[in-house]
Amino acid sequence: MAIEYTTILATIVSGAAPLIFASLGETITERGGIINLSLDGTILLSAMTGFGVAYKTGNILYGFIAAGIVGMIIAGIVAGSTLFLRVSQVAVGFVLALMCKDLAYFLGNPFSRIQGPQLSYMPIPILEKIPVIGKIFFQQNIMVYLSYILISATWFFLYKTKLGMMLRCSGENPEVAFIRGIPAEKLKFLFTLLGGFLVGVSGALYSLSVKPGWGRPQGAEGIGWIALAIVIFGGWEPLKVALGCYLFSFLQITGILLQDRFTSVPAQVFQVAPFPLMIFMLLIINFFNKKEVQEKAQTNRFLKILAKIFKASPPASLGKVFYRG
Amino acid sequence: MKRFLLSFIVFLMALFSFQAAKAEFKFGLLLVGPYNDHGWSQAHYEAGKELEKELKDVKMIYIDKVNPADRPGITIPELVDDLADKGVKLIIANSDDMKDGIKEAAKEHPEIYFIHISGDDALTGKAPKNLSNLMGKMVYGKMMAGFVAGMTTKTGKIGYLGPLVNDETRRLTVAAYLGARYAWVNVLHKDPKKLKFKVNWIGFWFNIPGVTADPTQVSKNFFNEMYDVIISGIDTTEALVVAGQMRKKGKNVWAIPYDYKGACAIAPKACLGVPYFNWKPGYKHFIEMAKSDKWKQEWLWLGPDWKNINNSETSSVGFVTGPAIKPSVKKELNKFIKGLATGKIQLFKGPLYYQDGTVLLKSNEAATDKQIWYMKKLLKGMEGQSAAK
Amino acid sequence: MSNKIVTPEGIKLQKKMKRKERDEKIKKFLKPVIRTPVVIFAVFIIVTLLIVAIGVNPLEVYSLLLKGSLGSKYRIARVLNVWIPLTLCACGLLYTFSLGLWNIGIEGQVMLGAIGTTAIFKWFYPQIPAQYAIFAGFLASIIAGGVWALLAGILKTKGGVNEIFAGLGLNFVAQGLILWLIFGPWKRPGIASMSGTEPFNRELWLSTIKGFRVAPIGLVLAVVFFISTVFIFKYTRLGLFFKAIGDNPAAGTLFGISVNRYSLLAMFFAGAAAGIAGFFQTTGVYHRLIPAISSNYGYLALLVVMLANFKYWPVPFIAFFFACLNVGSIQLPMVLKIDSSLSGIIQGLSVLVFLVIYNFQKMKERKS
Repeated sequence: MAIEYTTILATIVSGAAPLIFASLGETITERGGIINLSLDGTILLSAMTGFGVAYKTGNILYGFIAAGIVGMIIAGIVAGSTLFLRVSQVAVGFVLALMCKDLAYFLGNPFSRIQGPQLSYMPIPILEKIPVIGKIFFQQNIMVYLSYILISATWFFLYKTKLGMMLRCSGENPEVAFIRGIPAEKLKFLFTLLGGFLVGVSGALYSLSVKPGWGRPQGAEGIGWIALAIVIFGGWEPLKVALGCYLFSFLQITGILLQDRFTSVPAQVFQVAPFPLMIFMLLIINFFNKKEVQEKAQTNRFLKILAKIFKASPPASLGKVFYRG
Repeated sequence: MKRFLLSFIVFLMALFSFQAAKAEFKFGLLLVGPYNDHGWSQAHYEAGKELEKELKDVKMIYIDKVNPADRPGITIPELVDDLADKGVKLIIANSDDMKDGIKEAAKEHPEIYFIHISGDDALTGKAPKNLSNLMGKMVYGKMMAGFVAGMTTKTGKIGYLGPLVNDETRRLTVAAYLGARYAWVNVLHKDPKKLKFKVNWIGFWFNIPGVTADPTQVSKNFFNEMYDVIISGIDTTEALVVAGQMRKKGKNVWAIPYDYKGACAIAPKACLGVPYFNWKPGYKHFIEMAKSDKWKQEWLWLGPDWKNINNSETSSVGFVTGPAIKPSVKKELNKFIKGLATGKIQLFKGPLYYQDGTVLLKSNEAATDKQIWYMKKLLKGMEGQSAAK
Repeated sequence: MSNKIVTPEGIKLQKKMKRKERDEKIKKFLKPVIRTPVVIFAVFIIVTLLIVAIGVNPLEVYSLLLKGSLGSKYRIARVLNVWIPLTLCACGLLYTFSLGLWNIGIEGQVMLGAIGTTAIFKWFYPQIPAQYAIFAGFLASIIAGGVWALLAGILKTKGGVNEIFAGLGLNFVAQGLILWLIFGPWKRPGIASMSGTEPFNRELWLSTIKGFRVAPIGLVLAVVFFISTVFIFKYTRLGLFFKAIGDNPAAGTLFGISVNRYSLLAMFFAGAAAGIAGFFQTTGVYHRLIPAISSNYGYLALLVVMLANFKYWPVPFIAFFFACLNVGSIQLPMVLKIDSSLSGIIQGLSVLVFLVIYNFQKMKERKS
């Protein structure tokens, strides 16, 4: 069979781009100790807004900005009600996940299935000429290039900057952060907003590029939950999370390729894969965080290597909020 | 005098409104997808709208997205109950998926007439007397689509974006394949072994995120595997959208959407043409029958009007060419259509073999309508699943 | 018998304490009394503004929702068909929430209940008579739903996996399982379609009253389950333990109650209730297995219980209100050509506003 492997790889790379925005956004949020469960609704509402604004103004950039702002507002509701009103963040996030989806369908009715603007293809001059790699990575649209930058920027921010360290500390141990004089609450709030912005951008990426247009269903339904799973699967580490996104994109395509071989298993069953993987990952993380196991790993070399691979430190205060006084 | 005049006017108005209320004939339309899907459901919706305009005192009440994914917890019999409350006299159910539900409802509402599109219950005798079936002979439309695809492909690889697998969809993919093979072998005189025709099924009539395979992904995948023409068999336009995107990247690919006359508008530069349904003649026939209370149970499979397949009054299926079709191909297409019309070209004619090598038609044997309607497997030469395994 | 020394100061103190207690009781009673109208009013204002914003007359919308849900016996029947599974799921969630567990996996537990029922029908009918098959299907739904919930429970208690992630993950796994069953082992002959399995034989449908499309058995199941839930929480040791652990897990250990064991028990109860809802969906509503068999009732039930503030008595009423919205909203696209998702917006908004106001009240209390 004549398959262009480079084209398939290029499709995987571009298919992962919106997921990278969403799950890295959530990674930043969760690193600060807040869990924003609303992703599924946020992505749809921002997808609708992004398309609507781009359609009305004729400017794609405005669409992306508007979508980001919508994501930010929703994240702000989650973070604000948790930090200032002490509402359960899981409850708020979950309700918003359902409600924003309905809101998107309700308000998006006038934009349903009309022709609108699309993000244009933009190969990078020189770089696209590199054999194989050029075709895979540099014949894409601008948001895909931004996704590469985002991966490294998130990593750099979290591990190499002081602000990133402070954010991680606020997520790991708010009490200590408080003692050290880190403004944990402010940081959490701000970076939840930033995370929400990125999730919003990912929504617009669906409605303006991957599945252009708006409708019910749009096609991005369920992606938010997948992004949440990938964040955990990646152990809250930007590089691993990004890898998880590419893996999912790969699974989506192989599912279709395998339809010819395994006819009794529908392609879409493969898309469920991130979820058992997520559960499995959580099990392993917990296993290696156990004291007995860690002690054993001191002597057992095999276990030590495994422990190193699966070392992940979930933000200890994730989902819990530390209130002063 | 003034008062008298006033009361007279009031009386007249009352009389008219009474008459209008009495004469108004309401029919219900259950659409499986969105009414503006640029495909299957929109073709139905627009036929209904046109008849609402054309026939006096006929009113349509439609409800779209009638499927359990979009409207959780709602079943067909329940919707029929609701339409009955609204005083509807005739109900059209536009999806194969509604087959069991509409039969159930028809038994419970003998006072209402029902049309189930694409079904066969009136043919098999399983339907109550107030339920009829209607379908267009899309096999011809698909042959034309296949023909254009076969004439256009450069790589010799044609992809068929299939919905779910059943008699109807097998029938239509087979027709498309036969059209493509005719173009490839009889017009272009190329080696039939070099023609690849692959069907990929998504699992339903349109994309249901998380439930069906994603048609956008499947289409991309076809193009990545060097297929350069996709014939769409699903209700919506993903194949054409993806082809349009690919063209912007400089790839020489095309798509042929389905169902709705205006579908090419989504991405004209990639659109070779569209085989479409025109439900107006069929609807009109049944509405007039129901209106005059001269109902007869029927199983109607309406074909094109061969004098002019795009005549909106008489032709139930048609084919309009898209901007991307080459003039030379268009010329050949017209010849092909003429051949079909006169019966010179008969594609459902033996020898034809099923995918597994068993015989569908012996040499020189022509298929009966029933053989075509109940297409059991895909044909030899086609790649893809014939049924669930 | 102990000796009591009664002093005037003591009596005064006692009286003061009693008064304080009474005041607090009144306060406790008053809080929801104030809260409810505030929530209703706020939601009403926001939704009205939203409807006005898209250029539709709100009065028309409200009257459509009302008529569309309670305007005829057909519609009331439909409301009850939503109410039954919703109430079942919500009652199940009362157990898990009483322990502070977020059983988000309830959606998947409904699906497993439906799979359990279908499995019995596929494997044992018509070898065994229909009534037995239905009863066996009922039991299977309880077991399947319950075991699926236990799986999330064990992941939590033994594996340390947060029940929210475990439940969410298992929901998608359950969905995948249904897809595989429909496309694979339980496919319709000659057909490969995601629309569902072959409809069951009529004998396997829960019987309904003619002209009123609700299975009385379903109503009985929901009502019985609700009453027994109330009974368990109010009058049994079990209910007491649930409450004790929920208030303070440490206290549970202190009294020698195994928190883990009760967590698993609560999960099983919730899964069983969801399983019954799945049973009802398959035999009473759809008469076959479809991918969307759970109809989102599990997720919706989470909203119901949150809005009920995790108390049992408002559950059936809120479930009824939500069911009316679900059913009535179908009129919106039919008559006004607007999207029916308005019902979901009202439901979500009610919970959101409630959460904010409730916590606001609590915060004020803390400050004072």
